[in-house]
Amino acid sequence: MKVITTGSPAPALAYDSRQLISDLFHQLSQPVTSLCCSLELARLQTSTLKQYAEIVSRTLSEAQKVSWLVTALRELFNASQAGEDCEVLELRQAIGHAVDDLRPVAESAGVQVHYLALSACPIWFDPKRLRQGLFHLLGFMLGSRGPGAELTIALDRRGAQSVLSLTVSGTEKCGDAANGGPDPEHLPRELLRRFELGLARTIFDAGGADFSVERGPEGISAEARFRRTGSHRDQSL
Amino acid sequence: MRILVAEDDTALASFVKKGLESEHYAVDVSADGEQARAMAGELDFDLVVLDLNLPRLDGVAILRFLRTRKPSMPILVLTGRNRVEDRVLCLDLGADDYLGKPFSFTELSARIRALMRRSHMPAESVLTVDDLKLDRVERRVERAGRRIELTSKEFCLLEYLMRNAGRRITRAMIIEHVWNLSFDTCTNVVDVYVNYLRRKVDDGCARHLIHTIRGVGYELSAHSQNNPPTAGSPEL
Repeated sequence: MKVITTGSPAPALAYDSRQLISDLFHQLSQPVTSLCCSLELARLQTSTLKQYAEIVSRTLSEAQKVSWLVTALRELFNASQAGEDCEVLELRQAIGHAVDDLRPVAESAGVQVHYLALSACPIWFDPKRLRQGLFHLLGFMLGSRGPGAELTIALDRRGAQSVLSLTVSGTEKCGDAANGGPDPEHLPRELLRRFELGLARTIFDAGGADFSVERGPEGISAEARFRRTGSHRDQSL
Repeated sequence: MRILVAEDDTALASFVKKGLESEHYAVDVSADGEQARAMAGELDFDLVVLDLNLPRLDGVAILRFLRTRKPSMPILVLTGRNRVEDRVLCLDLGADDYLGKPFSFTELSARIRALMRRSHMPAESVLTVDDLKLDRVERRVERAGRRIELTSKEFCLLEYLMRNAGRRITRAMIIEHVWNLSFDTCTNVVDVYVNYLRRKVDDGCARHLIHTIRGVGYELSAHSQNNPPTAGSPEL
């Protein structure tokens, strides 16, 4: 795994799996503490029906945050396990499906998507993992820039590898409110973006692809280099 | 509709998966008994296709486990053991249906449809909610006789909502059953698709069918605060 960061410091792209997990655990401690405190207080006080309804509502909201974070940690763990059902896949087709799936999201975000695939690009990967990885990578790229941005996706064959390149240019989204997507349990947007990228990277890494991300003044570029065929050991599995 | 195929013959599993996916089911495959048991027990599948001869844990043990944990989950057993006593054993252990190998994909597909039909989820080829009609086989959607053109994903989403008409469906359930992904982080893919669908299905109609349930997700129903039940409208 390599991360190349150019230009000004880019905290949103800095990726360290341990740091990401640590941040997720940190986020987890907040609703757990809040839950414990509010329930302890509720037990000590006599509440009116209205107060009781408020406590239930707050408790539910905190429990949903816990649930989201626990699921996120489980997903990150699952993503780090190598896929067990690798086969030869056509990357051009897989990206075509992912782009079609997310095109309405791009349209609603005002991001134009250009997809250029010159030749067939077979790769050796687990199909479900590939779909997940592409979904999270495209989701990250689309969520990084605001209306008027352009996302260019290109596929190429270089030696024994199939290379997927993505570049998104345009105005960077800033602040928590500027991101058009949902806000799972009011978690910080920056953490969610890092998590989306982290999931994609972890899936590609676990599948043996080389993944890199670069942020420059013009935008964000990501590249994933996939093996075109599996090793003898892989293929015998 | 999400189906788990527990089958250790990779070629057969791949063939079944591709066939079912072409019929717009979301399909997961497991070639290992332990893994299949864990997946079927922990994840939310609408049906399990179970081979009896799996490595590490055989299908009979999985069948016993699932009947205890998920008594209403439809299970279709696939096996090369075609003796009457084997079939009786499977059905007695709680399999809902049994298909001996070799089998044709058309028959497997028909049996899956039949099982879905018998289970709690309606799986008839034509679904109807109020004046909205979806034909799975013809891939056709109509509202009050007006044809609605949907993309493949919009069709799957509408089918899922219609099969669960009157129930509150979370975004996580939609991403799992329609996209066959376990997690959506911060793309608003479900909301965007539901909005597209809503425009095509509800715009111009006095009665809105797709409702946002604040803090939960969505519900497709002819009844809501804005759409009071009318005499003769079907119960959902």
